[in-house]
Amino acid sequence: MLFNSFEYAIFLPLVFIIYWKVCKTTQHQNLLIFLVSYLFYGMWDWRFLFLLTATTLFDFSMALFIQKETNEKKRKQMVIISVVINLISLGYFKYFNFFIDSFLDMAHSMGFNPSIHTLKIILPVGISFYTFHSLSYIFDVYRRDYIASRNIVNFLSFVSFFPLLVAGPIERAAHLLPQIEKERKFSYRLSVIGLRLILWGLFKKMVIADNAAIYVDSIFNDYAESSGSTLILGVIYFAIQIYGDFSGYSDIALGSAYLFGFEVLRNFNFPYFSRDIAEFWRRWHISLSSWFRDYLYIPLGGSKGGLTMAIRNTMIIFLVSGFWHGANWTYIFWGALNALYFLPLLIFGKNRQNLEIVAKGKLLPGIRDIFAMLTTFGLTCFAWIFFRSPTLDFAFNYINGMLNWSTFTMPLSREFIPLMAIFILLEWIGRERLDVLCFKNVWIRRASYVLVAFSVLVLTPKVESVFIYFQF
Amino acid sequence: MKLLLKKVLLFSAIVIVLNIWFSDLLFQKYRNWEKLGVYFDPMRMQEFNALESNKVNTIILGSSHAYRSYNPFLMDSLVPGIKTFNLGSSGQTYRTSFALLEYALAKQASIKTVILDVYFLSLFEKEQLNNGLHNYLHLDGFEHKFRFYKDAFTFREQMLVLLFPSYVYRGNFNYWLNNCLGRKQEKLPKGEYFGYGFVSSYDHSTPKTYTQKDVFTGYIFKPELIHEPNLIYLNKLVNLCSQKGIRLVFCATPLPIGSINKMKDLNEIKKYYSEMKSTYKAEFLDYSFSNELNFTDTIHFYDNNHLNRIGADLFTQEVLVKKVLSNK
Repeated sequence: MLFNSFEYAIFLPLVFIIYWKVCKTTQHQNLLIFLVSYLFYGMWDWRFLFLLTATTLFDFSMALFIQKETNEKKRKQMVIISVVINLISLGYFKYFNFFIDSFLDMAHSMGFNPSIHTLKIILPVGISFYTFHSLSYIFDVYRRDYIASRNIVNFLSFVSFFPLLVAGPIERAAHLLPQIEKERKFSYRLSVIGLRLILWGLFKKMVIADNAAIYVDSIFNDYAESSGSTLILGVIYFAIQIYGDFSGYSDIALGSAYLFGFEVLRNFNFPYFSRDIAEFWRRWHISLSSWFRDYLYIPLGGSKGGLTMAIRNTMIIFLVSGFWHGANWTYIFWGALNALYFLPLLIFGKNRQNLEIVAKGKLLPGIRDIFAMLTTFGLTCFAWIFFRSPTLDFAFNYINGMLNWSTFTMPLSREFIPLMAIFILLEWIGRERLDVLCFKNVWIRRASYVLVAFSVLVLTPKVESVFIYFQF
Repeated sequence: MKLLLKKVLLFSAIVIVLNIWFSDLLFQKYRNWEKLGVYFDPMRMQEFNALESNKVNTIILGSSHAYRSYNPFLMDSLVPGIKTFNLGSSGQTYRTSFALLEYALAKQASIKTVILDVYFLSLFEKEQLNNGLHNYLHLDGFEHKFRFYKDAFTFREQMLVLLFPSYVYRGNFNYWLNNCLGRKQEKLPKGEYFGYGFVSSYDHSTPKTYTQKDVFTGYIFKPELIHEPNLIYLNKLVNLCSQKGIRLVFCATPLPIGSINKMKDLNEIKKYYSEMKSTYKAEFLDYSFSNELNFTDTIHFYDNNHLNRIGADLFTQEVLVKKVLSNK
């Protein structure tokens, strides 16, 4: 069931009404969340419910053992077992064929011809997200940030909470589980914010990302025949597509969670208005970046061991982040490239210079900010080429095609530019708010709801595409 | 919570009313089809609606393969007593074919033969809305229209057609916008409407047509991916014909060799067709992969998929006239 589907448009209000009107206790509400989340997930492929249940029950039990154990060495061993088991499951479904293929390529290049067959493995939707979701719980219990839950229904609801199950945001146990355990009261304010986020998320996905996808697909599929300027436009469109797609998804997820009284982590904070790469990564896929920071970068020593250690750890988290996205060298290269962008800032101690949103309280940015934003956007776009390409060769050929005299010609596929410009303008106006549609003037706000809803109806392309991050 | 629900309902009502009003503007494309001259559906349905009762005894159903390959004029002129109408429409699924047959029977109780084009890609087609709309928009009479609406569309599609017509007709937004901006609306017709539902063109494909990547490149037929409702409605169609004593003939039109060569495996399709023949115990003339008629890609085909006028006439004469209609 997709967030932008007719089924979800029936499912969400139905669950919302049952949740607030029929369920009289918190325990009933949690049971309902667990049941509808499993229904939501089972509609993709019910067979993977067993995997989800097994992962959840295993981590639930391990957390109780870790909690009970007082011997630090044994506690650590249990965490390692839990991490290994979770990563084996993730590795098998997501990376098995990648390792086999890479090994075969290497063997062939060395003159060997081993006969190993890859398997037909179906990737369970959302496995990267719920595995990290569940792992955060193990880490939080181990670090004594959170007391292991003894209520299996609460924990099942936490891992399978349907707004976050398929593509995040990746929640922390210490943040979400206490909300699941405590009594929740209907909040008008939270529900209105939730509905606004859902509406804006639908616009970003169905109007912006899906329209951009048409041009991106055609340019990338036909890159050898396109001019340099068209290829550049294709990458810019992809930057907008992936942002609209993933942040649109996250907004709908956030909005849906708000409707049930949960304040979950924000995943995007206007990343393309960043003035350097460090700021970009504080604003893009925030839940994953902070997950890696808290559970990988800091345990590895962070920057406590001096600059060399900070550089090493930064490289590690960017490479792992790239690999997390998928079993392909293009993602690893994308991660490495971002690490290379980041390192100069780290070395010169400039990685925390832009913490506030650009031009705060002002209508327009200064020349320096504009230049910094364009440079950051350019670097990000360059890295997106690798993310979008099926192979590294493809990416290099694409870049090659961008750099020639045809770069100075008028690009094709310009039809999307006006819509993109309106979108960027709206995001700019709303950059200091959680939800873009929260205009101060009540009539502007109401008109914006109708206009956005109307745009979703009329401007959605005939060919709809699935959310990009479902494949991760 | 009551306040929230009230506001959401009010907002939804405003959006629904506005979108119904706006859909009227989007709909003008259909009203202007004569000016544009490229829309075969209204021409076909208007002609069919205007026919006297019990005039037609043979109809053709199916996707673009149907309306481009079966020449009703030729059939009528070569076989005495035959009166044919081609009700093929773009992307027609078996569900649409079934609903259309019901409509055709309500209008023409004299139908005695149905030729159903069974293009294998139709089996996988999930999209029902647009191919249903090609016909629904131009049907006659509320009762018939309602029946088609009920049978041809899924619940989701019924709701969309009823409540969100702007979404349903959103493909016409560009037309509306260009009209407002005073831009010229030009679209080259993909053939000519000859009448009785028959569309064709004397243009032919070129060798380059078959070097490009298309739907046939590396195609593998996977029966497990067949959209189940298509089979359910194929069954209903077969049953309806049998109840009414109508002769049903399955027919698959030829594909260009250039496209066939691009496909990875034909055995699975052939196997499926042969199973289809025995399951439905139907007459089945499968010409999709055999070149019995000695067709040449660049002479008899309009593009990588469809016959042109020369091909359609030859196919109609050699197959429909000689093997179907003269062989009752």
